[in-house]
Amino acid sequence: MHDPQPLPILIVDDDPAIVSAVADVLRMEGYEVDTAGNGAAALTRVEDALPGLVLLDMRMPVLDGWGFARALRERGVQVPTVIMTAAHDAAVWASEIGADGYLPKPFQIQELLDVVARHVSPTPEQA
Amino acid sequence: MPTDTFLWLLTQALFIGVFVAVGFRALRHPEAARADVALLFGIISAVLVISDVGQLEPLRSAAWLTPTLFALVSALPFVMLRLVDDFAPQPAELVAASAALTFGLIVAPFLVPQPWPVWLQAAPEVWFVGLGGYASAAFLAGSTRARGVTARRMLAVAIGCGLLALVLLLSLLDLFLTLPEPATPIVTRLAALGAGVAYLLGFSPPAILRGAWQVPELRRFLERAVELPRLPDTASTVAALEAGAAASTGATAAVIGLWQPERRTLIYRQANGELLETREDEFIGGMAFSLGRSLFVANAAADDPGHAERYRQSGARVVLAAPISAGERRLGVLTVFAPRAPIFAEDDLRLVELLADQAAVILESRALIADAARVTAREETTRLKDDFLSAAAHDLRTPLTTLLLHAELLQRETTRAGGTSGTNRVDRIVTEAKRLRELVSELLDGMEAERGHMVLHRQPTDLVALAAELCADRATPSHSLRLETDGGITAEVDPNRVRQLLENLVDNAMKYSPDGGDVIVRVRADDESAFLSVSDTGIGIPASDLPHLFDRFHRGSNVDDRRYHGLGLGLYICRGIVEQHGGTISATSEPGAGTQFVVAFPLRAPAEATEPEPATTAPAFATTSAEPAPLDTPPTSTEGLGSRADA
Repeated sequence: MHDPQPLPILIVDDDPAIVSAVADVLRMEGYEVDTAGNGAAALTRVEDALPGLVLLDMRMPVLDGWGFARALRERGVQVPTVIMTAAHDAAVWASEIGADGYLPKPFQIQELLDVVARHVSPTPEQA
Repeated sequence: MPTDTFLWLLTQALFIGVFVAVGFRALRHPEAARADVALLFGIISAVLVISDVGQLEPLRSAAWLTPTLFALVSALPFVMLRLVDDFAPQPAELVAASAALTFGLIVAPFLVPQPWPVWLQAAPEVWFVGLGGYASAAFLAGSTRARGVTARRMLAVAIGCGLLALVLLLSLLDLFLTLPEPATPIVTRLAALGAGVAYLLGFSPPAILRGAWQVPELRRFLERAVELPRLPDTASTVAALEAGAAASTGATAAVIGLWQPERRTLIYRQANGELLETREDEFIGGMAFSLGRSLFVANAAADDPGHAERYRQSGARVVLAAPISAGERRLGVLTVFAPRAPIFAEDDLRLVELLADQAAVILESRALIADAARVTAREETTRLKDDFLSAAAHDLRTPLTTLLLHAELLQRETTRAGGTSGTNRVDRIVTEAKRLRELVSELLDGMEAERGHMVLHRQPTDLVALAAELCADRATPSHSLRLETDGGITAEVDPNRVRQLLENLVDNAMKYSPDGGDVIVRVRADDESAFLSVSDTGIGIPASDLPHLFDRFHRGSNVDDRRYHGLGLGLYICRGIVEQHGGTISATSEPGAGTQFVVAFPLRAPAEATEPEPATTAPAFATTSAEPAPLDTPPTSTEGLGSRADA
């Protein structure tokens, strides 16, 4: 059901337990997964290979979600982004950085898969 | 006219003039101290007049003349001692012994036939120089102990007594030695005039001089006053004001009663630290407070007999009280006390009024500083709460995410492996993790609502579309969710909050109708308001619970905690969201038949509360160009958590 050579999903979170849990779920569903522990590491990943979707934690050391989004905008890079956050203001933060959606923590597998499917399922442009 | 004659006449005029003034005052306000002052000037005037009149021919040889002069001069030192006693109490034995000796000296000249022995001739002068010197020293000592106007008045009296003693000393020396003839009368007359002036200033200072003496005290008080509002609490400020007022007036004590408008009482802090609460018109301070003007009371026990014992115990005889008010607002009353009458006069009332005015300014500043501190503390508390909420949200939700994902992964793996042994236990873990998620979410949302200043991000929101999306998401096999509406209704609300509100109400409806059934969501509007309602056919709410339904941590009395999990925050959160939007929420219920919640919102935000549209309605990173969906068509998205319609 996925693109033959799908772009990877980049998971950015400073909590390794979350990164590994999300990565496990997505891999089980057959997605390509890439990971980063903060915004700066994520920028390097994006420069190496443009991901199909970024799952972005907001509060992270070194470079946070806002900084990451700003850096992408300054570089003129457009990547679909969904923020993952434990904060109450998830919707507000998503609109602040112009993200395409948000996943309030804690989320369930199905919620994660629904959001991901909406953004990386094959579209005419991607197919 | 020779100089000494002029001085003599001036001295006589001064003493007689002052005698008339103080005598008149003593008659108008009979007071022991005033009588003593009048007596002093009366005797001196009499001595001066009689010794002059005695020079005239018909009286020159009168037998009573010399004994009378002797008796008067002998009586003077005792009057001085009485005055010292009025200002600063003297040993009773001293007063009694002096009285006896004075009596002896008054009668002796009439009993002992002339010519008198030298000891009797010198007796009044020796007596005068001795006791007058003592009085002068006592007034001087009192002056160094006293403060303010009183200190200056006592100094003047001390000088007066000293000069008068000098006059008598010169006369005594004249009796035994031959002094240079021209010098003696001049010195004597200058000293007598000086004594007159000093007594005038000490016992009856003109108002203008009293005012001038008060200025430095007032200035010193004001210099200290600058620091007073910064003292750590109102009690310290009041104590410092009291000490300052007592020092400035030379009073034994000053007290401030603070007005408690809600209780209609005045509260004083007593020396032992205990509070004394009085009626607003109790004590002389209370009378001044209720009358709204300052009062001078010369004999407190007589004027306020109800509290006579209390005045006696605290040694308060003379009381001056002035209300403390800032503009129209009454703050309290300042009362100063003195144990004896001559310390104060009505002129001092002006100083007490000035001090009361100053106290008002300081208490007002103190109140402002306290207000500012309270606001800062509140802001600090709010900030701490925000920090805690933010930390709690992160620290609770993050591990829960991992727990939930791993539990579900395990569940999937177990199911996929076809094993049956662990399935039940894994299912249990997933169920409990989900339950924990609901509780944490409820708790954190409740705390958010508790903060009371939820930030609303209002935007035109299609309520019908929002409800339709939610009904599609939330329907379960056991509960059907039905939406009833007249058509497109757009309101200026925060879509995320309204969605949270509807979710809470719908979840609530399903939770409390355990046997399944219809949950009906209605969305309607009139010209001004939108109405959302959610009704179920569940267990209902007992009438006794309805008034507390939206309170924090309230759970229905018919709700079994083991069966229906929750913290009792869901409806509290709903109320917070509704009130934040300027709306109302209410419930009607029939136990066993079902419940209906009705929410009403204004369609438009109040003008001042409207926030600018967020600039991010078009996602910057969109991979596909999304046409903004018309507001009256349901979004194609079924993402339960995101708010945006994707193409």
